[in-house]
Amino acid sequence: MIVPAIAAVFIPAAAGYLAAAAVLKNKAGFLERAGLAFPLGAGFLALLMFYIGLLRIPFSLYSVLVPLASASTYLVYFLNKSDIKFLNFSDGFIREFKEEGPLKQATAVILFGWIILKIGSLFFVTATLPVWSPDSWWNWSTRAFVFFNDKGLYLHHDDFFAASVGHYAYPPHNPLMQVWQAMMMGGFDRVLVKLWVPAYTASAALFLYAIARRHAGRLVSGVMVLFFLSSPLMTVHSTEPYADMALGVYIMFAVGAFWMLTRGEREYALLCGLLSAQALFVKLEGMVFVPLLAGVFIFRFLKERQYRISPGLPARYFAPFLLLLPYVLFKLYYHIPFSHQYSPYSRPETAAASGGISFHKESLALIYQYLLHVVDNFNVLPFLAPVLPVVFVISGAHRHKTAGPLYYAAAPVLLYMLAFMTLYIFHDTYADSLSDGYAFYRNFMTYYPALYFIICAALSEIYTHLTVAPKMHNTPELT
Amino acid sequence: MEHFFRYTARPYGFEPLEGNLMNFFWLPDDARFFLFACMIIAFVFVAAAGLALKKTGLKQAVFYGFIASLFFPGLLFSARNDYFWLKFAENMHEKYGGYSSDEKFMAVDVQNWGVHEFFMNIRPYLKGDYRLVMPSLIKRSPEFPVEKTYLAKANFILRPFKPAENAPYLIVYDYDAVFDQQTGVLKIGDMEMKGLEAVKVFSKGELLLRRKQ
Repeated sequence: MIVPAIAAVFIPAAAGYLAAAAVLKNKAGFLERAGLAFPLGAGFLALLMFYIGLLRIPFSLYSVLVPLASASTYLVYFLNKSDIKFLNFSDGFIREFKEEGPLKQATAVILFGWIILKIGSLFFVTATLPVWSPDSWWNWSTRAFVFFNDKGLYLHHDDFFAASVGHYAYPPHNPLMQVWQAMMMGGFDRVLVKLWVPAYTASAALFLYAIARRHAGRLVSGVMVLFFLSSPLMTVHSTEPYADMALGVYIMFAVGAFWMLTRGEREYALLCGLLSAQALFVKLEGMVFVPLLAGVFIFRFLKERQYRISPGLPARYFAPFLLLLPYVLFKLYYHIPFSHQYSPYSRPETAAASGGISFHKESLALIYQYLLHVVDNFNVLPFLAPVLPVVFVISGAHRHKTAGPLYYAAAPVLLYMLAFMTLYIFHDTYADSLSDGYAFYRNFMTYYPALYFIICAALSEIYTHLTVAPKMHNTPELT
Repeated sequence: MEHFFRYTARPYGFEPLEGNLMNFFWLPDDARFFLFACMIIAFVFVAAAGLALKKTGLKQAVFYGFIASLFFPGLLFSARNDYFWLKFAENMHEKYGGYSSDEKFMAVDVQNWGVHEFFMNIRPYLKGDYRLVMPSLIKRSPEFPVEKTYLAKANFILRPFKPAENAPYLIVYDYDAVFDQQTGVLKIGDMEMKGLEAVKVFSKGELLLRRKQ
């Protein structure tokens, strides 16, 4: 059963790799494409399955694989036709390794061995433990089980869209990925049904490394990835079918793509749009982040119009959102809410209740306390986050042109964090949820990867500012 | 160093991860002193070396010192976190390694890692299918109309408050539970079930019961 389970991860990853190559052309090396591969492919796969379910075509390997294989075949044709390298090994990982001295080589072996061991252990534990957490079962796996047995989205009169299970307003990305995994294995195995989860973590690590590698040395990039992976909270979220970590990865990728875009690499506009659209299909919190990112995108675009106007840029960013149109119409037509609401079937006592707005002074103390606690949840992040802006300013990096793209990339992440803090302080329900810390850290999980990415980018900016000649700082404008 | 590991290295212990982690600032004094001392030494050493060797300007020296001072705790936390994660993975493999989904085993957490221990204790006693009482969900949704859902049709085990008539086993993990072995009556809050016998009583609130034959 393990072979089809692994194949279930590789098939969407292969499709996603082709999509990444087609979108970014030869701009992205193999590692960056490989990092993007699984999240992109899984996002497309889940959307595809949703549409298949919506058309009431029964889920089967045939009904899913035929359109997926057709799209992949077209992408291969497109890559050949467009002269895009299929395997673009421009990262030079092996070549650099051979050129280095023995001390650096030994360090690299230890460092990357450690990273591989960590990622391998995530897959190992995921393939060992059954789904155990109540949230995973309640929100995701039970719905996946219902969909799997129904061979569809359970669009029947009784319990429409499996409304009695958990948060029925949540997007179905997670359960559909479990259904896909189960279909490939030929049964709903309660262990291997979540083998796709650590693939998100591995993808995030690869992407982070590939982007960091553009601006820093190989060992420094490796250390940053190591610190990123050593977050205990992310480790646990990488072995259970929660959606927070997956959303966090999409948000990080979208922020990364936006950063590259604002640095003048316009191929990333379409990628940024695709990832933003997919984030909306993963968890409801995406609906907080994506409008913020889109808002900053529009602001940046309007501000930079005085330079070289490219009206195609917003089109490339916003076009992927059309993929979600049937999903939005489905929700509107069947009155499925867009916010956190329990089905009246599952929690009648809370379904009717809605949180009021008032000032919660106690939340301030709790937020402060939880932020101090994140040391053990997030490694060195609590040290870095408050000190870094000070170092950034003292170093003088804030005055340079290259800091502009970083500000734009950081803005949606910081606003997203601020949105949660505002909810904790002013929204009764969120303030209540703050009492046990779970909600806080779950929410934190959705912006941890992006925040970490911003920290890496800021360090890289400071480093570049302090070490590279000023003439090197000229960045191409937004086109 | 020993204190550092002993007192902070419980990210994968049987404790809720997200809410109750040990805090860096709760470290025992000597471990905290050790860590901060190393950070300061790393900062001063790297910054001073950069300046002394005339390789860097003042700003660069401060920046490299800053990175060095973070590098040390970062690496230490990484080593600690990943070491205990790997120990945890090894432990889980020993316990769950032989797991087969054919056993229709469903591990349901009750907001507590301890439940895994409990399930591992129960496992040898289970044969065939069983239903699970999940007290956190009983309290959460007493009116859940399971009969109207797909779950009622599926032979599946998310049956929080009304165990199926034919369920051979009943797992109880709730410290509000009161089971009278003489009468065979189980009470959890307002819920009462009769005609049960104990297969194994692990502790108060941790029971494996079955219907009397």
